[in-house]
Amino acid sequence: MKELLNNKPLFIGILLVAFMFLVAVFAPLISVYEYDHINSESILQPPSVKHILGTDQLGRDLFSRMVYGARISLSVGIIAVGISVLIGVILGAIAGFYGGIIDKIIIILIDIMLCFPVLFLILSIVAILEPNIYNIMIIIGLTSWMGQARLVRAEILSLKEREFILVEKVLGASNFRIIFSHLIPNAMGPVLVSAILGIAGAILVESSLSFLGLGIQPPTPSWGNILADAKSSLGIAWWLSVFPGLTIFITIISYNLVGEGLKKYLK
Amino acid sequence: MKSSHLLEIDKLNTKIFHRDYTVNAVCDLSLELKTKEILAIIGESGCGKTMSMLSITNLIPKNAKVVSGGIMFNSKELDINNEKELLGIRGSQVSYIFQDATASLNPIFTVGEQIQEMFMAHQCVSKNRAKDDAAEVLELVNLKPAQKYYNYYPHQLSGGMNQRAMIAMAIASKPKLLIADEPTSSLDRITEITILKLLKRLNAELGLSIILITHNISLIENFADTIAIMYAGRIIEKGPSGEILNSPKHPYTEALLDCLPKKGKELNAIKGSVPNLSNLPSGCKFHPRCPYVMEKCLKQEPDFIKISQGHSVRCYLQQKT
Repeated sequence: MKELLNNKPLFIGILLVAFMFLVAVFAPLISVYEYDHINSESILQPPSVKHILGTDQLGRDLFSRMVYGARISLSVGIIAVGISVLIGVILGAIAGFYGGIIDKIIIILIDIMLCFPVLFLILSIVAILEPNIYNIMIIIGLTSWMGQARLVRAEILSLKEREFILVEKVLGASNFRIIFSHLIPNAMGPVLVSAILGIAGAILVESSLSFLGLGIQPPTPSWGNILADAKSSLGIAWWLSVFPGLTIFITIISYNLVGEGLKKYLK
Repeated sequence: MKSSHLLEIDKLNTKIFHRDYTVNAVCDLSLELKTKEILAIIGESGCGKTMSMLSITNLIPKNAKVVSGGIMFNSKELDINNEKELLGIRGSQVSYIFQDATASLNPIFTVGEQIQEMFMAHQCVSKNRAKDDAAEVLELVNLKPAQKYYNYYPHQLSGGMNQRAMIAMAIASKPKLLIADEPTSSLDRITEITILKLLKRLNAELGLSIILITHNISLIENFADTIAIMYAGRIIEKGPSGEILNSPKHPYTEALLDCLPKKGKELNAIKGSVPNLSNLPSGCKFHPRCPYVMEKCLKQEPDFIKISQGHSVRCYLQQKT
């Protein structure tokens, strides 16, 4: 606990992330209005007591929309990274453990995936499929596992030469057991760090997609599409772009702080 | 073949292949081990002790290969290339313990969890049952109270305690044969003796056969039943331990015994060094270092010459002409 307090980035990061999570979980209690409640009498109101972050072109309460948007953004980030960690860890562990031709094939696969400009790949897939939240989670996950795979492969390459792995072998553990209950748990430290940094990246990708109109579709709010709506009235309603932008910024920073802090903590 | 033997190795040859040379790590190694017997294999570093033992369950490095030889275990011929059959033998029939116990245990699990896993993997028992069984073997290796040691991580224990935990893991599924590869080399003298006493007790209580690999000849006087001396991948002398220690027949055994530190005696070392296994001398492999070298030692490698029941040696000096 004391170590946690001394590790400022980790501490601040965890506080911020925890705050975001609480907001997302308790969104219905926190928000004052429904996120899709249109009120033609309060269009483009600046921040006031009634609407603390102001209202948009359709008179919807920005604060309520942002609170619900947190749910979308955070869940997309976590599930997309979950998918990428799952694929990356399994492929990386198999490549590192077996080596030889299997390793070569997986490495080539990673290199091929890294050749694509990811955002454009996602854009074209989303353009073909329907841009809903599940598709976006899966697609971001499927296009971001390469870093994890490389990381795990490198860890496994050195771990598998350690003596306790030989001991596991001589005591009769199968390859499956060695990989999944001995090698992967030992490689989880760096994976955790990169996964948390990955959440920040995934949130950013989701926001970019929604901003370009190929992400979460209105009226479901996400920080990205709130920003997209804001650009038409950028000159007259500053609050519409500043608050979502700032929120994205703080969220990314807080995940990065947790990731960096964790890296320091695990050393 | 006689069925009284638990393990019978017949003319085992293991080679390590490098890009431009081949190392004959184990050469025509033959051994027999009875049930409940303790055999000590003694030799300098790099003479193929570990390689020959790992060959039994085919756990040698990828660039090494058992090229010929037969292994009978428990009156059954072992097929070195049958990975599935070997998987059933490793850990449940033949177990190993190694020199550095702290490195041999997975650092992120407690010792108890690792022993528990052995039960779950080999005997397919439930998690709770395995936990009780793990506590039982911890008691058996004198890590008492078992509940306390169950929750310790390897880094919280001393080298000797880790070695005992390692032994607990190795005997968890009641193997018939335990191969101890220099189990006490990194421990101090007192701990060393307690570990050997523990192994001796397990040998008596569980009927466990033990092969002890060591380079410390002074340790095994009251421990081993038989001794095999290895040099350059070969066994050069084998026989009952009392006989070998009291009247060694091979000049190398003699020299090894002469190396032991004694009070008031200057330290002796054997001249020269272990030959390079990829470029062995002709004839008897010990001849460049042997004080009694004869002309025929240079030409042809001597075969085993029987001294007495169970005691034989590979040296022309013992040949009766």
